[in-house]
Amino acid sequence: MPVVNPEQLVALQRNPEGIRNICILAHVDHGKTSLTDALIATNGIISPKLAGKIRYLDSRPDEQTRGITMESSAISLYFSMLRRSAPDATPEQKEYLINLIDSPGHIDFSSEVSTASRLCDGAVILVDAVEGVCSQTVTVLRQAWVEHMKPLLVINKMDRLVTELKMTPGEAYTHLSKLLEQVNAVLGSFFQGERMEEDLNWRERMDERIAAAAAKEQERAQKDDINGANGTSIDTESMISSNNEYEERDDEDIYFAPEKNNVIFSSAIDGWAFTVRQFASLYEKKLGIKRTAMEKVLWGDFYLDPKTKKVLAQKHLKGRNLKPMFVQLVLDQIWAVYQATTGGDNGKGDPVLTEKITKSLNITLPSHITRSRDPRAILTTLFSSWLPLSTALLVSVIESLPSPPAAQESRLPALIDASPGFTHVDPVLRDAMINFKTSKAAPIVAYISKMVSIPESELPENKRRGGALSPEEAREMGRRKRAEIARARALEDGGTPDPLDNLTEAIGGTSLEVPAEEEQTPNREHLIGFARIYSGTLSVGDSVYVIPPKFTPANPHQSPEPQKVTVTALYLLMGRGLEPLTSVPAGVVFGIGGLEGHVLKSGTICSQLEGSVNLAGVNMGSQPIVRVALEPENPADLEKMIQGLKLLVQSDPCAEYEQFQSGEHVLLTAGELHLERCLIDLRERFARCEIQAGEPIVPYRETIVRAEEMKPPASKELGRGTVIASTTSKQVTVKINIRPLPAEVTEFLAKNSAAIRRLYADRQAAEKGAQSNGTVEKEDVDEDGLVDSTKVLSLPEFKKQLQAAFDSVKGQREIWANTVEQITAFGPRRTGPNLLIDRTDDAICGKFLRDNPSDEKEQTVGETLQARDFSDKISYAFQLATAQGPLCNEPVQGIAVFLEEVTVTQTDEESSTRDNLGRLTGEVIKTVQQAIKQGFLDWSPRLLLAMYSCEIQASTEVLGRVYDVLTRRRGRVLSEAMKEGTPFFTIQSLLPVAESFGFSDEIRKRTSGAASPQLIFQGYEILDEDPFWVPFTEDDLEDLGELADKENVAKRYMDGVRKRKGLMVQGRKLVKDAEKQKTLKR
Amino acid sequence: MPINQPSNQIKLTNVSLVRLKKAKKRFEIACYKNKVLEWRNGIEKDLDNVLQINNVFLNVSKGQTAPSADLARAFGPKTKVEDIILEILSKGELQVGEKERHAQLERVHNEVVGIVASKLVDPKTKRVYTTGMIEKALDMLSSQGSQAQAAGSGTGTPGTGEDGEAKPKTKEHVWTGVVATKSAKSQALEAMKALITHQPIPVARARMRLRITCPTNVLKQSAKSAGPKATDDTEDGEEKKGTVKDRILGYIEQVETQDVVGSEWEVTGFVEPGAFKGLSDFIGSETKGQGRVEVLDMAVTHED
Repeated sequence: MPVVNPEQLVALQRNPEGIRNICILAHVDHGKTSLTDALIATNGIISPKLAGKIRYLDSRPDEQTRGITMESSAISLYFSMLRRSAPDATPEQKEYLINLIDSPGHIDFSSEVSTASRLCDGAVILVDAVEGVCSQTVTVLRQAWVEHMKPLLVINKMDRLVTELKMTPGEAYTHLSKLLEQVNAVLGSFFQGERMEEDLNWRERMDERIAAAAAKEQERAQKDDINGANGTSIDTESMISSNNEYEERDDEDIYFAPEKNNVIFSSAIDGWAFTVRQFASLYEKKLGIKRTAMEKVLWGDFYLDPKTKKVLAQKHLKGRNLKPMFVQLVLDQIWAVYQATTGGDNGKGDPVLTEKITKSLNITLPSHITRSRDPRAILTTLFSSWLPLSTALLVSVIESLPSPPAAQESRLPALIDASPGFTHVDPVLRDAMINFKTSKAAPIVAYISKMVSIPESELPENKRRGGALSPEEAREMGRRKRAEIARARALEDGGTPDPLDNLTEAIGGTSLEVPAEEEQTPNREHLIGFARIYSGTLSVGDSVYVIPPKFTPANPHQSPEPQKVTVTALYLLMGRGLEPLTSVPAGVVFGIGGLEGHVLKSGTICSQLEGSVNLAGVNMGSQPIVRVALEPENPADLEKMIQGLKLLVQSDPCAEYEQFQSGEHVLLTAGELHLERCLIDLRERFARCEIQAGEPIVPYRETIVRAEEMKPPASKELGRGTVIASTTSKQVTVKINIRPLPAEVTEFLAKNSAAIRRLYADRQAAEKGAQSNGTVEKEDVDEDGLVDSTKVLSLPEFKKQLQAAFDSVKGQREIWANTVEQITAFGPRRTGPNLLIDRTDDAICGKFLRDNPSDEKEQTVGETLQARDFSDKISYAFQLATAQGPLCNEPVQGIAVFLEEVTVTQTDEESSTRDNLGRLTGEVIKTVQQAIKQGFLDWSPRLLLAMYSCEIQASTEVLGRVYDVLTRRRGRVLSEAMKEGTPFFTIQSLLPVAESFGFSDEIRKRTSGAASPQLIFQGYEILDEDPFWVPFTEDDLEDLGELADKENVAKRYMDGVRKRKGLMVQGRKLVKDAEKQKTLKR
Repeated sequence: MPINQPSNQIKLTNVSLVRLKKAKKRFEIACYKNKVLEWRNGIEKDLDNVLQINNVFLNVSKGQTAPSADLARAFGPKTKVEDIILEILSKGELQVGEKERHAQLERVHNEVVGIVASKLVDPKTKRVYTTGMIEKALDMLSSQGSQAQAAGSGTGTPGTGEDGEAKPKTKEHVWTGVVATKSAKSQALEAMKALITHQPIPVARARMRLRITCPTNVLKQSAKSAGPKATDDTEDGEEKKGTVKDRILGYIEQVETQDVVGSEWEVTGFVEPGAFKGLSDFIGSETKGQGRVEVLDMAVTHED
């Protein structure tokens, strides 16, 4: 095939009937890219000999080395075929443009599949003939089903049946029919699931279907007449109709059946493929059976009567042992070819047989091939002239997959109705999209599925658009080139271009058609949108609205309001290369430039804002769940890394980036493989610096509980949790009491931290207000300003609810009786779920939750030190103590600190008491902090683990393994429910964040990808184990021994954190057995 | 002369000595390596796992056991050998084992890095760095520091080459890594200063948020203690004649709110942690305890 030049493709874009947008979907390693190769070879881009080996669309180096596709990429192909518009009309040459998207098959990249499928109208689904339906096959089938794409099944790697499994044609036939059944069973399950979901619409739809079926029946009846007249066997027809009747009760149009021409048998590596129709036409003359009839009977349990040359159904066999027609007429031939070329004694083939076959097929093999020692060369040449892969596939694509106008008509109504706020979509727009308006006047709607990052050097900016160069232009080009080279050289030299170069550059820049091009610095990454236009014609220079994914046409001016952006470039996607375009009509898949910074991941562009449609609100197939903390190897590269991460997030639909309060940069990816790819991208393209990935820091919380058995309180007479502490100078003595807060209260406080923060802010605001009003009241608050708070609770409400939370606690009511009024502070960070409660007799601390400002006593300022002077110190100490708990310096939650008594002992030299305040400040803070820690440890301390809520979808077969992984990771199953109408179970569980590193990878491995978890941060949960617990009761000692054989999980977590933070780790021995040390000198 | 054969050689392996000088005699006990510190910390409770031989020696390597007369003289008569061993174990001087030293250094290092990481922020984003980043930055510093030192001693005069690491003289903050002898806090401060002066990554101290209240009548007075202060602090020198208010505001880098409520002047602002002590002393002395400094936040970092 000659090389097809891009101009030809551009011209073809104008003819929507001749466009097919297809994507190739399959499980990993089922041969998507090899198949694509074979198609690319037909356009002369790569040599047909190399097809299936060089994997042209795997343009990344890591894709090539690993041999798997990681990014979906598109290519436009040209195909011309002779087509009859009517059965008897003379065939006329028709040209087609096929926009092909090759998608990755690995589960980590399923987001790429979702984006690719949205762009296309039809899907080519590959299944390995040997491996059959795999987990990702099911996923892609569902994707096609959800996206309402017309599927085409390719059973690939047929050669493996011959060469590897050494099946006989008969066995192969049964194998294939089983495989087909599997695929159809999957589709059937989708159908059933959908039917159950849409129970309401069901009846209506069934009615339609029955009507359609009736119409079909009629058609068939007519056909029967024709067939009958032609003298073919009536039996076949009755057979078919009985088959169809059975199917009609089901959703017959969704299933794959070779007789419907939506199944292709192929071997991409050997370069052949066929459909039943192809063979039907081959045998049309030979057997004298009408092609249409032949198509119907070639697959299935039909047999050819060798004597009468009539087609028989199974019941008419009468015990004769005949091969099914498919075996006899199709598979036998192929097997024979394999036998002739690569079969034989030592895989060298059988030249005699080969010659026979070539003769009967009317194929002449070039002499250099026949003489070649490589039997595969003969095989591929034979097949490529007999059953070329591209013809079978492309003809089927063109015949059975819809063209953009047809596809949009059927797909888009559902698509638009699924988009947010669809009722507000402009009817004109809707009409234009559904009815495929390509005129300039029609509104432009295009969907950008993802942003691809292309290095500057690969942009075709320097190419002239179409036509030959005029002399001036050629000179211009040359000048530009020179300038560029000079600039590049200057940059290499040290980044300071000398003024001369700048001058030439400036001259060059003045006469450019697109001045923007020159501004780009070399080797920068450019983001190009991977887009599909649904209506209108988009040209370079058009300015369009970019509609973000969260947009809803219901209120188009909601902030952030969509921006208007000028399209700077349009490209034809040719795999690795790009070809510039000036305009694209509806129905084309193309690349679009100029959206950098406007479209984050996906988006819609539209020529109008009012009543526009948001197509980007697609639900992604998989959520990113693998989290790693990233760090540049060289700390100075941090800025670069952050920039790189931002670029990466834009160009990858499934990667997310978060920055945590701890300063960590956490990258979320779909899987380990995806992570690896992201890291390579970051290192080599986006950030260009070495980056390390590690386990993110896991947060914990600390709390105390009233346990069943606790060690005796530190001091008997004071009671548990009470500590009397005095400062080192013995001047100030503080008595505090620590208690665990009731769970309800803790929960309430944690939930309403926003309200507390708000209260603080309001108080400050109110203070300001009070000041401006000139009120004399000191630091006092007019709480009326809180009324306006709508979302967060206002103060009275907050108090009421807090009181209610306290009241709901059973038992020890007297302790919490009056607490709400006495709350002085919340902590840590003054919003947390811990309380400082003032129980001193004269209430030294200010009340935080006052209603009435007047009950505050005026603070008397005297020379002598008073307890009141220390109130802020104590409050601050409380904040510090709750921010760093005693277990492992993690924030504390759910404790109440009762300040019971503060006494100040006057020292002898009273003159210096005031001067001492500075010194005492530190002492008091330290003492109170220590006291709170002591009181804390007097109770039974607990660690709270950060938890993910984990939702796992798994089929019944792998359910056990899922549980296995969950239990090993210390997860807890909350619920398990069968999803109606599907064979899937949904498992809700909780999983500690600390154990989640590598979880997704493990679960995928263990279940061979059949279970897909989703992790969402849930909150903190108490780990009911005292980290300090050692066996001390007699029973325990007897059961567990002194060293507690059972591992204390809480202690393990605690020690881990302590080690990380450089705190003392209790009881960790450097050397367990002193005698077993290595004594040799190194 | 005894024949030195492998069979009659006794080699001291896996031995760490603890020595105690008492009554002009040196007593030694033979312990296992890496165990004595654990014993002293109370982590290891099994004496047999610490002690090689239940005996007191004058010289372990020679196998000289201590005569009971010496023991009685040094530790008092009728003291049991076990008690003597315990005393030597707890009071004697010891060799720190390799692993022990390593563990201790690591702990101090982690602690220092933890403190530094919590106190330093990126000046642009006000976000904290992770401990890993701080660690790397410190690593860079220490390697730089050692190079600079090597260069300095090379180029410097031979006389000063010896005390090239006389940091306090030059007032240059050099970070040379963690040592186990100093407290983690002081080392962290040192590390922070070094990081801020050299800026291997853009860092700044996280500011403290303070609320300062002061009676208004004091504000207008000129600062009493300005004279002595100004002499030792150049920063204050400019505001020698300033009022109390000016002085206070001088301490504050960024004022958040400032208003007068009744007779009290109240200001909330961000203060560099180093200036806190001075500020609080100043207010204490100027206002005679009427003014107050309240710490709202120790380290202000970006919050989500």
